[in-house]
Amino acid sequence: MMVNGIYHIARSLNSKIKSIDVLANNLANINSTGFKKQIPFQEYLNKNDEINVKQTTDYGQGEVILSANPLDIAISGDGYFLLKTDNGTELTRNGKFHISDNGFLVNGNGNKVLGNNGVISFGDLMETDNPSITISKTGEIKIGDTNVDSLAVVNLENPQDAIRTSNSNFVVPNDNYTPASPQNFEIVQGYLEESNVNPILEMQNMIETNKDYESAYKIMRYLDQTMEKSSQIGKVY
Amino acid sequence: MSTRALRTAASGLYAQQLNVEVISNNIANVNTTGFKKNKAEFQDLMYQEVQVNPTQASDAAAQSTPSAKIQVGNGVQSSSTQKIFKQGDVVASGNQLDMAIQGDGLFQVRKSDGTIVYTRDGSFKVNSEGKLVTSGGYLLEPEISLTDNVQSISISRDGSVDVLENDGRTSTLGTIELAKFMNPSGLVALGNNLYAETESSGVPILGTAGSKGFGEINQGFLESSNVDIVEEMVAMITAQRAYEINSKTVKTVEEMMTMANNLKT
Repeated sequence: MMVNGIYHIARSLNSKIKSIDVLANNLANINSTGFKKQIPFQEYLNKNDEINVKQTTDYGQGEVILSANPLDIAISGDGYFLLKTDNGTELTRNGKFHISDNGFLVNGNGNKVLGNNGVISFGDLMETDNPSITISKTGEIKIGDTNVDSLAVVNLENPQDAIRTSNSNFVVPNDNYTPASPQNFEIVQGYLEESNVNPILEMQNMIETNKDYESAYKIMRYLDQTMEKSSQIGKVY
Repeated sequence: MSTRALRTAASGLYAQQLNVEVISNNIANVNTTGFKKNKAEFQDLMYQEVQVNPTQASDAAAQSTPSAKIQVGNGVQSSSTQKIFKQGDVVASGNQLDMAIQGDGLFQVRKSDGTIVYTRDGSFKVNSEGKLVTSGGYLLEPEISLTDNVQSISISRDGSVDVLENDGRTSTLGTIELAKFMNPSGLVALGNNLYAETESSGVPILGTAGSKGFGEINQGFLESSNVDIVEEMVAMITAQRAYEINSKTVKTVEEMMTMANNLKT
């Protein structure tokens, strides 16, 4: 009997639901700073004919928008900020930083931002006469005329290995990242990088997924009806 | 059936609702003297590893491979609302006790309990004792007291207050000092246009207007709200459309669930 066909269809229904989960998450994060959208996963056969799934992140640049806050920092070009968390380091494009109660440069979750010389601390510099913060295009932080540190900007070695955590952050296994070369990025102070989700593309994707689901649903119902018919062959009335 | 997509969309709806609340507060304060607009910030929630289950039992080998896992997000949350200390327009008011700061800095105000708070609202009045106070009745710090026989007041750009008395003599009553913060967005808004320092704003740096990066004081002017109606309308349209698109997710998932329920006739 055509049980095999029904399995294929069930699989298709299942994967479409998971695609919708991914699309829903992209759309929910349409206003999240530094968010990188996910592309719904694909299944493929590897060279041993085993089924694998692949999930990719679109690392494209989001729009860089003026926020007029001196501690909002965006990276134009390639690169990630480095954050120190309880579990090691995380990478992010979300440059929404502020100064913590004890004078460290931190992100929204209180994780310290790393510079080339470790965590960035303003400490006593906050009480100087000219406390304006300037950040150069290469990431050098100055308070007044005093140099504090330079923001650490790194590149992913294998972008497909990066694991997502919250707050638009990524964890890289084995800290597999390298310092970014300064000609590939520019730090812009007072700007934030918006989410790179394009609502039109997501809607298109969602309609497609919905219709694919509908087709699979119809096929399943036909298969069900066919099997019902076949079970009636030879039935004595 | 998984309801993750539904919950994700609900978190998106909730975030956009908060966004509209912040925008509507900005618009409501479009004429509030010295008001600094807020901006809501959002961040994505934790991700979860989901197994893409091969439906056939014979694919058990594929099930156990790590590559059969994908990361699916759980939606969005608001991370903070932030004050944006951008200069508002300076508008002539013709009142000699009105002051606007053009540039960085805040006026210091002493509350009734003795604590010092900060404001950009320079619409000062004279109280019954002849002292300069805010509209809320809090004393300007350092105190400026006027006497009965004052004919006119002139406040210079560096904040020194000179008066012309009835008998034609001039005298200096004092100097208005400004306070500046390293991280003004770390200030906590108290309402009534007042801000208080926090540890993240840093300690106030006091100074004379017009020097060392402090703004200048303009007498007879007021700083209007820095809310730009066009900008807020654009933000509102964006928020509304983002709300709408999340509701479309809800609808799509609902349709798919209906289909799943109808698989068996």
